[in-house]
Amino acid sequence: MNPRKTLALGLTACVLACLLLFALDVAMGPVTIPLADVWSAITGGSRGNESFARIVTLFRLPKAITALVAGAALAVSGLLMQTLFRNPLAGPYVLGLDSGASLGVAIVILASGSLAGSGAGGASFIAGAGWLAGLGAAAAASLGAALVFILVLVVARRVDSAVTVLMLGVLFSYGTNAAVSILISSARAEKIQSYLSWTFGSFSSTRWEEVAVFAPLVALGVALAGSIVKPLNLLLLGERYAESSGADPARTRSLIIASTAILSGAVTAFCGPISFIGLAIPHLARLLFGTSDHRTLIPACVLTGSACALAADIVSQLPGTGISLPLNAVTAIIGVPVLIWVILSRSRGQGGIRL
Amino acid sequence: MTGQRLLLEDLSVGYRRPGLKGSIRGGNGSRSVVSGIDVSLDGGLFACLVGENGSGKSTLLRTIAGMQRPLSGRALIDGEDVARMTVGERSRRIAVVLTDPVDSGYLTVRGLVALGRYPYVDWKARLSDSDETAVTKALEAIGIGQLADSRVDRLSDGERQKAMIARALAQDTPVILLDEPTAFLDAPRKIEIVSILREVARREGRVVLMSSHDIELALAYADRLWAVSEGRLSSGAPESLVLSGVLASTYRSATASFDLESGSFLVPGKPGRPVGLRGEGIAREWTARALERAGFRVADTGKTGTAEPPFVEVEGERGALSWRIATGNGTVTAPDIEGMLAALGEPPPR
Repeated sequence: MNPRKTLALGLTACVLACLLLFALDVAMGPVTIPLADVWSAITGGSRGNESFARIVTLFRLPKAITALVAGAALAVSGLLMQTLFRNPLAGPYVLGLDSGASLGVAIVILASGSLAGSGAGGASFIAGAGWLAGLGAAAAASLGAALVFILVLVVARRVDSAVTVLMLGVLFSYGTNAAVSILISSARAEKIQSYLSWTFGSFSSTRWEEVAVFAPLVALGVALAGSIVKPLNLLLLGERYAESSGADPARTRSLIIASTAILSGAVTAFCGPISFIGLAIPHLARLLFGTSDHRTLIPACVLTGSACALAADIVSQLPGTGISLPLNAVTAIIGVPVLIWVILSRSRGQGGIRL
Repeated sequence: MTGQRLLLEDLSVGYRRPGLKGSIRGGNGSRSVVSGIDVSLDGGLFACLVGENGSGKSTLLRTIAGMQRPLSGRALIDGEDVARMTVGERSRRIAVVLTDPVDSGYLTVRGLVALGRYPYVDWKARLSDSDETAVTKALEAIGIGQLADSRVDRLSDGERQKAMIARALAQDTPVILLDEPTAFLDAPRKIEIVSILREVARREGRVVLMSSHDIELALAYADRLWAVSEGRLSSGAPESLVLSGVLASTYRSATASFDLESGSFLVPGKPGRPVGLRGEGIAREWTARALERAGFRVADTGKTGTAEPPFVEVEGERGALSWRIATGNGTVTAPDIEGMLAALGEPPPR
């Protein structure tokens, strides 16, 4: 079969998998909703069960869309980092953006006790109930991630090698993690609990208002990544070859970092620091499609990342029970064996895992 | 296109940062590695850049490629200053083959060579029909058309190097620079690569400049030799540099010296014990080598000449050779080189 047809077939299969998982994610949860009711709720049909329709439109749809979008964002940003640093262990968070976000959230959640007395405006912002508190976390996470992003970008434009940026990202993480530890050590138990549950990650804390910000941000980040497929492909041979073939190193690096920051920053802000997907999906996409060409890998990562995030969300809700598991535990528990199996079966005798 | 394509005008290359331990210090803390370079290359010429480790070959190549700014002077390609070109302009004038390891992932040879066309494609990285033709042409010029669909990481070292050269060729630039492209290759592969490079230069009127440690290879194949030594560059036909003694002084080291007669390196030793040698053709040639390796100094006594012992005479035809060894203690016949050396007694100390 010719490669173009194989590619089209592969991408179509991924689209179908995403649609199926999306439907299941909407249908399954503490209450299982028949697919017919899901359909009528989405299309606005009148025959469905009223309370089912409310659950679908108010909770399940924004949650499923969030999972879809976050999976794509994480996978693409992981791909960008692995290509920039030519390192199979790189992921969306190697720049330290999640650490910046964590620090922001930790300050809001953990230190809010002391802040509450210091200023009326700050206190109502932070201590506000319901989705206001959620937005507070999102705003704090965005702010933290943005600060780290600016730092990294300034550094990336000044240094000669991408590895230096990687090293500094790791060091930023240590620094911010230390600050978070200090905050945790002096915080009250229920605040620590609330901070910890943020670090577990979740697709369920977004309402339509947030989806309306989150989805366009991610679309922007993916579009930015799509606009630099040429330098991304050139980077496969390393920065010096890329430069000799016309990719300006500082410009390329800045664009890659900007795209990654938008994507992983948005996910961290709205869903928490979701691990594993960003590291694993690019490898899965390369193995499934057998290519290193970013023209294929970006759509492949979008689709496989979405499918994987939806599957993880379905499992984490433990369908039919009222219990939900931490999302980060689920991504790793399902993802690790699957990825190990894929790596061992597909890369045997082929020289191991590749970028 | 022929005529002057690459011109270096009073070029000095080196590093701007202070604090490096250096021999020659220029102004404002910069360290010059090679200076006062005035040299040009015409289209169609294949040139080799030689010099000892650390002499500045790579620094010079990087500077010509525009990856590093010159300390002073200019490098011009078809009359344009490389340092003033944008990254995009450079990519259409200079192609490089570097020593950087290439971890090419799932790239096929064709995909790798196609990257050479990226200076000419739009942001969507879609190759036009003429780009595809250029890729096919480059693959065929290097003789790896049959490998087009193989993955690069499954190639041998020689095949991978050819693929990298095909990529540089597809870039369709007037100048191709290669940093040690023959390192790690076996002798037949080296000769193959160098012949391809020379052919590329001649057929397409490009300038091909490669750095190499392999002086014997450079002497045999290069149209021009650039020899870097002690911060200076000398250029010319390889033979001129041999005759003017430039090469001998380029490689003046303690352990090996450049031998003018053979055009190769010899490990100097104390003058060995003299031994006469009689014989013909290849058998005589290799017997002499064995004797020299064992530390003897071979005195040619021709085919029939007489000589004082000790001497060795090669007898018989190829396939049925024997060696007659005359020493002070009489004459013995050995069936092989090992026996011949043993009969001459313990090798003299070096």
